[in-house]
Amino acid sequence: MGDAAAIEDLYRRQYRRFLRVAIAVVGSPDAAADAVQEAFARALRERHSLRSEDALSAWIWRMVMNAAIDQQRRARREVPGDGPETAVEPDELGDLRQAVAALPDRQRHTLFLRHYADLSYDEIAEVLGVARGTVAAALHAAHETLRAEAVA
Amino acid sequence: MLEQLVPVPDGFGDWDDVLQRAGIVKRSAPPRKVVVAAAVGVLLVVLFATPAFGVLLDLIGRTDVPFAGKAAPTRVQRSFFDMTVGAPRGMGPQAIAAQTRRVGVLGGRALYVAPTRGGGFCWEFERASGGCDTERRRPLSTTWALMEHGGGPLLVQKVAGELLAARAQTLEVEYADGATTQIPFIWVTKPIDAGFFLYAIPAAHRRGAARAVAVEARDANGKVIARDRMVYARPHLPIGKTPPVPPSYRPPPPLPAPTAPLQRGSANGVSVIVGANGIAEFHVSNPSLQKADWACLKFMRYHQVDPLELGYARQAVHGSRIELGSLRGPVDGCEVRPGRGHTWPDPRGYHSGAEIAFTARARRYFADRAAARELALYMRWSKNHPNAPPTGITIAHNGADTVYSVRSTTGRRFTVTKRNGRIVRENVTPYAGPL
Repeated sequence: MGDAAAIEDLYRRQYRRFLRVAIAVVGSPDAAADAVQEAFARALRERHSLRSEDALSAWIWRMVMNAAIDQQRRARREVPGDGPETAVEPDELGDLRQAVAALPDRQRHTLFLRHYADLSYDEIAEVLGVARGTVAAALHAAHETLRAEAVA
Repeated sequence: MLEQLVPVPDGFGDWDDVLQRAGIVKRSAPPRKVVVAAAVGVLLVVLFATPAFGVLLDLIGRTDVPFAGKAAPTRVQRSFFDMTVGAPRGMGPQAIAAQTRRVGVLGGRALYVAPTRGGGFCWEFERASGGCDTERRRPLSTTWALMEHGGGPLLVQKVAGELLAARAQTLEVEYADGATTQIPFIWVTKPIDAGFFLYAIPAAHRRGAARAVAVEARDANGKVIARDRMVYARPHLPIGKTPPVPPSYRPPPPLPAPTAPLQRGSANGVSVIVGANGIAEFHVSNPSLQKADWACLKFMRYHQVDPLELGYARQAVHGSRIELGSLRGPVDGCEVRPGRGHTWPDPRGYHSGAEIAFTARARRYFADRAAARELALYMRWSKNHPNAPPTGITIAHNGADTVYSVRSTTGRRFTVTKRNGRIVRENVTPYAGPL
């Protein structure tokens, strides 16, 4: 049921959003770009398993997230202890980066999908396969943690 | 702060790379000598066998085709029609959508063209590229599809466009290293009287030193008669920064008031006045709808079941008025809809935030759409939640079929019939999108 043209359209229209979230998850822009490419390639290969075009966006977001998380794990395995690429940045930005990196996976991913992909709670719930309430709770907890870090 | 942590990246991606990774092989242009040899061979086939133009167009330079052939599918006609309806008044191309024809295939994409009322034309390579030309001023107009690799310079990955120089016999892409590639194009006879091309730049020319720099048309003597150059220069901004607003920028002037005869209506803390001049004025007192989007709708040709709806995101609206372009009054209705969409079960129901019907037909549409939405959302939801209680949904078993149904307040019944886990019949799609 998945239409290759609809997938291509989504890629062309929203590439930067996908890439931005992938960068947030993976850390490295190159590895993130690779994750996005792989996710869309997989979506093309498996498009016939998608039953509803309405679910296309969430389905692809899920693939992008999974591909990015895989990339992140691979990077950790290949370079033990190596964190995300960082440029010279103001202290407070570095602190925030560390605070975000320290969040539990679900909170971090929810935060990225909300702030960098601008997805609604319902969409995030569909992408991450959790209840809407879980999204709200994770986002609230993440904000609280980051706020506390900012104050500290 | 979070915004600064991961700035919006630059780039357009590389769709061809996705295709390659997916194992979908795109036919790349064969070397020129092979093209010549193949063209000769193909020519013999054409002379002695069948005029199988569809498969030949990729291999030869110019192909003349009559403005005739199969009528375009309704989807394409509708997209040409919508271009005019959705445009600000006087700016729509006025395509004669009913005359849209499928005139050929290039690069695996069907080419559709339609004349416009002012003597121009609209064109589309199916789901790839397209446009309209109402003025016929530029002899060669190219759309350059760009991509970026690893923060490097922008590169062209695909060219598409239109050609008005009737004497053109060949069309070439020129590269920065001096190489050229002859590319195929389709010339469509009057009333279109124009040529169209679509060509994927080979991977070897997606590098800075060999990137595409121009498209040019030559006559039978090899003389360049039209040339369109790619300008790569662009302001260099750090990633994530947006260009500064030029000092000459002025917000758009306020829209005029709606003019008589007026349509007035209100619902759920929203009132709207629509004028014959195509201006709709909204007043929203409902606090929960302050940030919701505004839209008006009308039933018309190509939109008999699902009306054509023209809307604006709230943040894109200056003041309290929106311009409906060619969708001028009288309209059938207007609505205010939160951007969050609906899920099943939705405690807020399946109507938009405020639905204002000016006609009985719109009233029925709003009611039917809500019912169709409910059923469609249940069907989508239940795929991943097989134990979801079907609150409000009637389920009946009829032999091998399972029929899910909802009745609208108009009395209309919406159904989805499943057999062996597959949907075999349904009537919700026009109202609620594909299942």
